[in-house]
Parts: sequence; C-alpha cells; structure tokens
Amino acid sequence: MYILIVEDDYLQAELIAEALQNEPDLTSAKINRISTERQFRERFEEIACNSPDVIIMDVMLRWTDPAPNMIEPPPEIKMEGFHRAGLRNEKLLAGDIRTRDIPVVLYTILEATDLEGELESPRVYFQPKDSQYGPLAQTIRTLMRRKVI
Amino acid sequence: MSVVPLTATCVRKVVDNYLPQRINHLSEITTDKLASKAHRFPFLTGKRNVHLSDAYPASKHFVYMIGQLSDNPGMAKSAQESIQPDDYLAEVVSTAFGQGELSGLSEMLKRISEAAHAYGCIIWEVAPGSNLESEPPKGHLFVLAEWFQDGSVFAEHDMPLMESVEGAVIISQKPENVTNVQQDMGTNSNPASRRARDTLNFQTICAVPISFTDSKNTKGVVSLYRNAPYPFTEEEFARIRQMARLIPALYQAIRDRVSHKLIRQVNEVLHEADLGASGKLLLVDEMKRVWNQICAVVAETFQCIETSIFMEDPLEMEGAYRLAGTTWNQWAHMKDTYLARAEEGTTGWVLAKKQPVRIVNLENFERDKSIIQREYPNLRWNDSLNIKVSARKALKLNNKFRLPPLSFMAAPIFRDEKVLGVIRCSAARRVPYYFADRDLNLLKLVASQISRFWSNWLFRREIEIEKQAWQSLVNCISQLNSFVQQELQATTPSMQHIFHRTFRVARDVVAGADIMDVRLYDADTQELYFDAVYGAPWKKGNSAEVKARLEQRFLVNDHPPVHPLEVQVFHSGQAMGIFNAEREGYKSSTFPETERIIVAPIVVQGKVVGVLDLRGTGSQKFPAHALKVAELLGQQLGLYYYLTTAIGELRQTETELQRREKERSQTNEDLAHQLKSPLIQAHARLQAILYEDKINNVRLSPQYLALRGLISKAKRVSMSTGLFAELARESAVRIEPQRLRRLTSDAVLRMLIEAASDNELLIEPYREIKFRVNRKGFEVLDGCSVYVDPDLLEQAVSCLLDNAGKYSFPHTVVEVSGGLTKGRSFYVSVVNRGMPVKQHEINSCKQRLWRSEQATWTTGEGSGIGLWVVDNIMKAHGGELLITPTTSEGITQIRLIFPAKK
Repeated sequence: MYILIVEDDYLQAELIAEALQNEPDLTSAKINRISTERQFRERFEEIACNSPDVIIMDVMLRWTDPAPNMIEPPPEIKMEGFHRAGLRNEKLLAGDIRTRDIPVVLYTILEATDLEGELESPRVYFQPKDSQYGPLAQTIRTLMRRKVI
Repeated sequence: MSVVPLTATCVRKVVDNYLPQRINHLSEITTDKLASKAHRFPFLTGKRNVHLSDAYPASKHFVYMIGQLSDNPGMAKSAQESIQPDDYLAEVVSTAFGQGELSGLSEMLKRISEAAHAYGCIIWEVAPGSNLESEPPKGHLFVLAEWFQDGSVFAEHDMPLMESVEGAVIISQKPENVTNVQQDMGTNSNPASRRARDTLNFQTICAVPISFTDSKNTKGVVSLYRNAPYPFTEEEFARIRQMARLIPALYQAIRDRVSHKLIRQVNEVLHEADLGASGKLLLVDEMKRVWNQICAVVAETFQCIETSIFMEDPLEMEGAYRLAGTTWNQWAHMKDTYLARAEEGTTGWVLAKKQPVRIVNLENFERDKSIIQREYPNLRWNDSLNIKVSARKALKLNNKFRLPPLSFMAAPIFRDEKVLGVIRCSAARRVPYYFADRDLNLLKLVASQISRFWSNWLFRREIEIEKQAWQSLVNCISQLNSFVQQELQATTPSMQHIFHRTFRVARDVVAGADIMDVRLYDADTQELYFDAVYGAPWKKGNSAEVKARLEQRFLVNDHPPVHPLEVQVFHSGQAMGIFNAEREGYKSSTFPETERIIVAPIVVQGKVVGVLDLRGTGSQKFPAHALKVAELLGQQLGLYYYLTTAIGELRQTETELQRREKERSQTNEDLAHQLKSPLIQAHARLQAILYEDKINNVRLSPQYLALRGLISKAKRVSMSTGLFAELARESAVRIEPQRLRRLTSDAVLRMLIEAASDNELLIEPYREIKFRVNRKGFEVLDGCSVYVDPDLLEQAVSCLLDNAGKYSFPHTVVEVSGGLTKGRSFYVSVVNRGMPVKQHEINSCKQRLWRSEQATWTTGEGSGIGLWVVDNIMKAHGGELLITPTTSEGITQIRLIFPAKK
C-alpha cells in the first residue's frame, strides 16, 4: 500500500506517518511526503505514473521554501494565496485521467463548514485534524475496501 | 395786365425773404419812388440802392411786386412777362424737394400763392369718416396745410362738405373760381365758411380738386385766396390748376423724405445705442436716454408737443407699461404707468387692442365720441395730460387765441402677438396740425423699429441674466456642496439643514421665488408631507393656522379629477411650471396669492422621493431658466438625500461594527488569557521534566523537545492574539510597572537559547537552518540596568526567531547576539541570510497585516501581525524595533533596542 502525505508541517507529517504505521494493517504501508504546492506540481508526473492508493492532503500549504532564486507561483496562485492550495492540488488530480480516481482525504485544521461548496467530488473525503489518528486510519481503511470492491 | 394786390405785409415778407439772402446778380433799381409810399413801408427807409437778381426766379416776382408797388408798370410788366409758366412749376417743385419737414408743405404753398399772387393757400383733405358716395355726401374737411402772407393760422378741421366752396369742388371734382365770395352762397352758408371768410377776410377764391397718392386716394382741394377785390384771371386760374396737379406727388415726396429721415434718425439712435454699449447691455439710465432721443426725433418729425413711449419690462412688472421716454417737460405730473385696458384711456386702449389710434382733434373728443367709437369701439379719452391747458402753455398761447387742433395718434409696439409697449404723439405745433393715416403709418414703422430693438435687448438681457444666473448657480451649488460635505461629516447629518441651505440658493438664483417647500413621500400613508418650508407666508396667521398649514398632507394614490401640481410631478418625475396663475387658471389652496409656481422632482436612484416647490407671489416673473434651475436643484437634493441617508446608515453600521469589534477583541483577549494560563503551566511542567532528565543525565526525549517547541509556539500565538486584541482596542501595549524586571545576562541567555532551540526544532530538517546564540555580548547587562516585561521580551524574541526560521535560505545559521549600541542602549540582534527586506519595505514591515509578496509564497500560515506586535512591544518599553535593509551580501539584521541605564 502506498500513502502520499501532502503536508507542509513536518512534525505533523511525522506524527501522521508514525500513527498510521502503528496501525496493524498499515504497518507495511509505504508512506511518502510532499511539503509544498510547488513540489506537488513538480512531482505530479511521478504521482501519475506511480499512483498512491490514497493521498492525505493538507488544505493550507505554502507554495515553496525560501531560496535565493525562488520560482514564482502562477498568477492564479498569487491571487488566491495559500489558503486553498490543497484544493488546487486535488483539482489537478481530478483533471488527469491517470490520477482522477485516487482517493483524496482532505486532512485539515479547517472546519467542514469552511469548505462548504468546495468539496464536490465523491472521491474526496474530509477529515478534520485531531490528536487522535484512529479516525484517519479508519477512513483510509474504508477507502481501501471500496477500492477492492 | 392785372393789378396785383400788394399789402404792407406782403411786401414786408417779400423784402424780408429776398433782399438780404437771395440777391446775387445785380440789377439796380432806385427806391426813390418808394419813398412816396414810405409811410406804408418803413422798412425800406434808408435803402437807396437795392440790387435785384434776375438769375433767380423769385427775384422776378419781387421785381414785379416792386414794380407794382413803385407805380412802375413797365418794370412790373417786364418782370411778369419774363416769368414763364415753367418757372412757376419749377419753383414749386424745387421748393418741395428742398423741404425736410412736414411743415415744409407750407413753403410749397407759399410758392404757389406767390405764383398766383394770392394772399394765401390751403390744402384741404376729406376727414376720416366722411362719405362722398352717400346721397347727399356726408362729412367734412380739415386743413392739411396752409400758408398766408401775414402768417395767419386758420387750421379748420370741420368745414362741411356740403354748403362750402371747397366741399362742392371735391364733390364735383371740378375746379372753381369764385370771383366774389360775398355773393357766393357756399361761402356764407355754414359757420366754418363764415369763420374762414371773417378770419381771413378774403374776397375771392380759386379751388382745384386733388387726389392724394395714398392707398385710399383720399380726396382734397387746393384753395387760393385773395383778400383784395381782384379775382384770379383765367391765366392765373390755369396756372393754379397746373400747380395743383403737382401737389399730391410733391406732398408725397416731402412725406417720403420726412419718413426716410425719421426712420434713418431712429435707426441711428438705436444703432449708436448698440455701438455705445459695445456688446454689453445698456443700463437703465442709458436706455432712458435712448427712448428720449427717439421721442425727440419723432416729435420733431410730427412737430408735436408730446411724444411718449411706454414700455413693459417683464422683469420689473409684467403687464405694466411704464413711461420709458417722453418729450413732455411736465413728465413728472403725467400718468407714468398704463395697463393694457381700454378703461385706461387711449393709450391703454392701444395696448389692449393691439391697434393704432388716430384722433383728429382731442378738443372735440366728447362731441365726436360716437363717430370715434365707431372706428375704435369703447375708446375713452381721460385727458391725462390736461391737454388744453398744457398745449396753451407749450404753444405760449393766451386765452385770447384759439388753440390749434389737438390731434393724437398712438401705435402699439409689438413683437409677434406680444405687446411690448406703445408710442404716442399729441398735438402738433405747426402745420399740418392733423395727424393723417400717412403719419400713423409712419409712426407704426417707428414702432416696429423700436420693437426690434427692444425685443433684441430683452432677449440679450434674458441671455445675460440667464448666464449670470447659471454662473451664480454654479457658485451656489459649489458652496452648497461644501456645506453638504461639512454636514455629512457631522455625527448625524441633517437633511433639514441641507433643505434650508438649498432654499437660500433657490432664492438667490430664481429671482421672485418667495415661498418654498420640500415635500417628501410617506410610504406608509402614501402621502406627500411638508418636510421643510421657507418664506414669510408660512408664518401668516395664528399658531393654529400655521400648524394646520404645515400639517397638510397630499394623497398621491387617490383619483381626483385633477391632482395638485406637486402630486402630478411626483407621478411623472418631470419638473412642471405655471408662470401665470391667472391665465392658466391655477389656484393654490395653501397660498391663494401664488402667481407662479415651479415644482421639481427629488429623485433618488431613479425613484421620486419628494418634490421641491418654488412659488412667486409678487409682480416679478420668474426668469426663463427657472424651470431648469429648479430641476437641477431637485436633482442635487436627490443626491444629498441619498448621501445623507447612505452615510447615516454607514455610520450606524460603523458604530455597530465598532461595538462588535470591541466585543470580539474582548473575547479574543479573554480567550488568549485563558489559553495562555494552561500553556504556561504545560511549558513549566515540561521544562521540569526536561530539567530532571538533564540532571539525571538521561538523554532528552525528542518528543519532549518538540513538545516544548510547540508549546512555545502556541504561547507566542496566544500572546499575539491577546496583544492584537488589546491593540485593536487600546492602540498601544500597556505594561504594568509591577511586571517590569531587570534583565540579567543569565535570564536573557537562557530564554534565547531555549527559544533558538525550540525554533530550530520546528523547522524542516532538510532546510538545515541552525540558530546560534552568541553569549559574549550579553555580559554588558552586568554593567547596566535594562527593565523589561519578561513575557513581552520572550514574545518579541520568539517572533524574530520564528521569522528568521521561516524566511532563511537553506543552510543558514541564524546568529543571535546582544550588546550596547553606540548610544549605550541595550540590543538583541537577530541576523540571517534569507528573503530580503528592501529599504522601501522597512516601514511596511511594522504595519499591521502587511506581508511581502514573497513571504506569502513561503508560508502556509501567518497573518502579518508579528512585527507589528513586536514594534508595539518595543514602543511600550520606550525602545525600538530596528530593521536594517538586507545587504548586498544577503544579510538581514533586526534589532530589539531597549533603553539602558548605567
């Protein structure tokens, strides 16, 4: 099993990975992490070719890490900012035949009401961030079962 | 050869006229022979050598007459024979062409008389109203012109057609030579003829019919008289008939000349007035001078005692025709204003009927009233000039002398259908004493010249007034806008103030508007009600009446036969005006004295919310542009109404928002405090665990360290939230004095090292950002005292380190150091190599919610309040947040500077 975590807080990402790998049925899962929106775009081909079974997607993501020669974000991202970066990533996935069926769990500090009207795809699941990771693991299991069926 | 009768008067006139001026070429006669008759001709005494000209025809008559006088038949005969018939005619013609006044007709008659050796000559004209076709013919004759050797004035105007020689000639259209008037029935059968005979003492008449060249071919007769018993010879009769044939055409020539001269003079006066004004409007006094000049030239032409012009000035008083100019020297006592009513007399009649009037002799007005009123129905004569007395004064005639005829004529001055004024002439000083139709036609021409000038002047004045009014309006609107702008800054802007200010503008711009109001629509009752009023009439009556007037309401959804004007405007959304209440049948129930009214809609966002009502009660009519002005004011009021309402609502919203913001700030502050307390405890307990592990030499758990970093971050965010709320409410961070502690190097180092460690732990390991605290500089704290609120210092430091961690480039070591500035202040410095801070961004960095564009690319959190909070913390300490722009090497330094005491 292959889980991709898109999360810009590395402590958070570590906790998620650790918690999931502590789940008996997910111990052997391969877990990768992407930390910025730019990285997600750069690695999109890789994701398409080697599709994860599930993507755990943060909603608020920075565009990039500071660097002397930073690549500017596209105009629409400049305009919209970081607040809905995860949703933009999800749209990219939905727009590609190779990735449109990958289940996406929006794992965010935001409330479901904050994203009202923005969660339209049946492939996308909302899961609020919590100190307990059991619900997240449960959601992943549910998704995996559906995929098998 | 006939003997020419010569009287002393005749000779005197001949000599007076010819001797001094007209003798150019000389033929000498001696006056010795005149000496024997010197007692008859005293004026010749001493004149021994009288030179006569034979080049000038007139002198031949003189020779003839002198020959007769001096018992020198040869000389007389020779002179008479040398005078050819053509000479008489040429003389008459040249005399006529030399005349520039109507009285010049007398000169022509003089020549005729002289040519026929007559005592005098009269041209009679058939009076208006006469009927030559009736059986028997009815009517009478009047004297058009006359000349007598002795200067007698006859000027009859009621010589009957029947029973007079002159009438008989006109009726028969055959010349007549009455050799002995004593035996002629026609000259004795009526008082006028007898009066003529007695006054002029004539003994023989020669009368020839003529037809004037006017459109009616008016009939007349030329009569020559002799007061000596020498009848006109056949030769003279024939000559008179020849000359009489010329009279109508010559008379017309004189008239044309006079008419042309008058029209030219009037044109010159008006043209000069225009030139003198140089494109500007003539002032009242200048206009008066123009009118007086016109009156003068008209009076000179018609030789009348009085010529007056009455004009209406619509701006001064509509319908009142005031004296504009006159030749009447007693103008101060004359009626100076006329209304267009027949009861006002002849002048009022002309104004009312828009028709000219001509009266042959005012003296006989009452006698001839029925005949006059047949032509001019209901015409009255009120004798406003007391004409008989005034004419005597003007002509310097005492009561022994009979007044000449007092003829009158007046012509309306109008443009299209509108009567602008009237010009009138009364009582001629000289012949012809009667104003004929020809004169009236000429007066009408002058009236039309005046009409063009006055219309043009009124139009220009209207334009000028309109221009000034619009300029004034623009200024007023500008001032009104400023006023409204100020009013809108008030806590509660008042539409009442704005309405009243607008009324003042309307009063200044729409001259004559003396009652005003604004009526607004009450949606609940569907009525218009008075919201603001202006003008003294609103206060008329007792308090109950005033109240009742103000409390009136006007239903807009009922169905009466006719809605009030205000309701009509409310429905149509179009401005409406009534400019003559009486003429348009308008009657106001609130103010019956209303003469004119304009109502304009007040429209807000396409919807009529009320109306502006301007009324005038006085004589001053509204200017032409008043409707447009009212419309504009209505639009302005709509705009002000909208702004006032919108700003009022905004103010309310703002107040509500401020109240809510305050509540929220308080809640945030409260929550931040509630959060801070357990975080502090959690931090403290964790510190205790870590300290114990360290003492026991147990390896520090990464989880614990991460936990401490997270708790520190949570503390910082919590505190920032509290400070943010506090700053939103108080505008400054307050430090309670009891919270100030003296900063020691140990304490500050411990805090910095821990903060550096916590921040380093929170950063992605792959970015390899390290923090290094340089201990050495902090030793300065041992030599000076710096007081800080430890929590706020920790907050400020954490914020700087957090920023350094977030914005540093990979592989950067963030240097933290301390020391004293040159000014001996204590500083904590954070230096890194990362995203640059440009010079122009220094101030922005300290602004609330400001983030550089690049900063938004590299963080998935943050709101831009960090440095703003730090800046306020430093200000609260009397210190400074000093941001140094990034150097060319990419180094950025930020310092916290605290005041230090030695």
